[in-house]
Amino acid sequence: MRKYQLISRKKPLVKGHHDISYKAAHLHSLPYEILVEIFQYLHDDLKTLLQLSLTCVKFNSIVNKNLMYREVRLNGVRNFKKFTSVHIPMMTLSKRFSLSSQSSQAQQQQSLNPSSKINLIYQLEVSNPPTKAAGNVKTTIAGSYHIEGITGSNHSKDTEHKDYITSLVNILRESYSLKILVISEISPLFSFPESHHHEQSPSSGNSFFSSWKHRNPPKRSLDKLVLKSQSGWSIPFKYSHISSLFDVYDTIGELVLCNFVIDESKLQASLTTKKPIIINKLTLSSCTFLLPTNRTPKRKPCDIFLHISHLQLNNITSGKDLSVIDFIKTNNMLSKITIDFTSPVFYGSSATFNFARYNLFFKLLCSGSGAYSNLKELEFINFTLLDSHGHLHQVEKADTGDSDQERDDWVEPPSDTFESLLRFLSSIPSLTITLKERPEGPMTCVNCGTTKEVARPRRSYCDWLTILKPLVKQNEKCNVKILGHKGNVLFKKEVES
Amino acid sequence: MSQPKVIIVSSDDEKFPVELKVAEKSILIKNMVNDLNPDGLEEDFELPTPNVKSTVLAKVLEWCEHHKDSIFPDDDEEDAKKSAPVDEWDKNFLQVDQEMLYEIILAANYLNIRPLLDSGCKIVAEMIRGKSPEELRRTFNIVNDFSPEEEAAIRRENEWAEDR
Repeated sequence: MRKYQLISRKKPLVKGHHDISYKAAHLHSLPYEILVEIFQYLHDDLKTLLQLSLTCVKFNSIVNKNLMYREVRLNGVRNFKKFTSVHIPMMTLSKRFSLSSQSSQAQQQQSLNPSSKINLIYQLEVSNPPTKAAGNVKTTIAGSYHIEGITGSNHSKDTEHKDYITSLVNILRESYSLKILVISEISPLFSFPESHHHEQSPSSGNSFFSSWKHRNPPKRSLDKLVLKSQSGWSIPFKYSHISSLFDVYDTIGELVLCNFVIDESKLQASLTTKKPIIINKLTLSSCTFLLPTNRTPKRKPCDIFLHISHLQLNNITSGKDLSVIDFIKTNNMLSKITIDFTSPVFYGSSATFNFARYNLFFKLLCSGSGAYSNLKELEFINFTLLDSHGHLHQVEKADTGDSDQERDDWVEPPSDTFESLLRFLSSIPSLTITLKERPEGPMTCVNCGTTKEVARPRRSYCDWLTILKPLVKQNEKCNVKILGHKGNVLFKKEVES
Repeated sequence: MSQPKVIIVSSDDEKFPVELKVAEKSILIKNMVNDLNPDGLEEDFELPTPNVKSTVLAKVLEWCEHHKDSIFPDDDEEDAKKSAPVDEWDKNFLQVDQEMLYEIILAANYLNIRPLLDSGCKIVAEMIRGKSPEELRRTFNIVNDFSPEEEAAIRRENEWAEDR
């Protein structure tokens, strides 16, 4: 990394060649952070930002650094090409000059360097990545959909795909500030080309930096990779959806898949990589899980998901999609699960949570026994049950008080209530619940029918203890944290270790 | 007995005695008063603001007086704050010449009066919105310090952003 910085790139914009001085109470003289704040209000007005960046050197640098190049969104191939031709021209050029002598390469160096803006990018979003020419081959997806390959100039389509991928990988290589990559509108036919990282020759890739990169490849990680399928499609996830990224990165902090199919047997079969793949967190949004058809007695972990310690499930639609937990946990690393509580799976056709069915699921999950012994942390997001169930206990506390306590001792509690859900959850060492933002308007308590106008009740520590009594009483060793929808801590009970 | 006051002294030595409630709109003053008077304010408390001159301080305190009972959203509610339009009273209140507007912004920043700073920034942002580089330079009296080559380079580099 340090070595990389020592090699200077393009000259930075030389400051104040005209040496203009402004008086203290002038827009230009306002402190940097205030100007950033002012310009931030224009973040969605790209046209104004473009104009602003042409006003003067100072504004140009603020807009570029904090707004325009911080989050770059490139829609479609044309837009992508326009961006890469200016900002990362090295690849297309270096290919052209690859046969020329060393000296002429050095002469070209200036124009082959990526622009200074590349290292301002924090988040890059590309959409509609081109696919390889499919010819007339029919592709079958998920066994039921057929896609006709687009006929036409296969060669140019292949080149387009190849150039696109090369440019994309080059941006990732060059941008050390990039932490989030989003690829959206992924076609069912899209894939990265076969990976060649282990046999990469010095002449391929960028010529200038490759010599030292080969001696000392730096460890690099990407915080978050988001893949979204083309609208209307559910695409079977495969290694080639991420393969080229592992030429650049060693670790991906979080992989988010939206509208994908996780097909266990296909994933097991498809993998051919020598480099270890490290993905720490996997988030599945609206994804379907396919159990292997021929069940082997012992399930094997899948190489791609070998290092996943945190699994998050959003918008789960069917009960069988929850089985993905069983698939991932075969890696013996999975220690945290996050579940979106607004997922339709929990409610079925009714509007109320299906306690009868899912209480037992959570009981098993939290049990800590056998295959679930590695699971230490459970997190619920978009939690709504406290809106409708958080009321009764306050009434109980006021009205019945002690008698409630006595009753608990000798009546076997039913297992399909909110209270028993809390009791089952208490077996997990750490539980975090993030509440969903409450809609405006009155809320009705499901148990007593009382309608309250309070938009967001302020609960005291004691109120929380009363509401969460089954949870806190059952297992005193359970760490509980309740967060508001903005992440502010509402209640916290930590056990000293 | 009347309530003890906070006396704020401007850079040009003018004294502004105000209620504690008004002065506390400034988080800087609020923390200072609390730190130095842990048992509550018992006598008048004088405090200099060497960065703020009297004309500006008078304006800022007028704002604090008007908003002494206003409840502002918490700092963590970023989104709500960002999208909310400027309060009508604030809009009229900040109908001042640019120099005064910047002075108020600087004072609000120094005294840590978040809602006033937000209103000021939003008003400046609205003044910027939709103007061409030439119009911006004219409105804000900014000198074009680009060379023609630099300007051309910026246009070329930003071309991708134009067709979105």
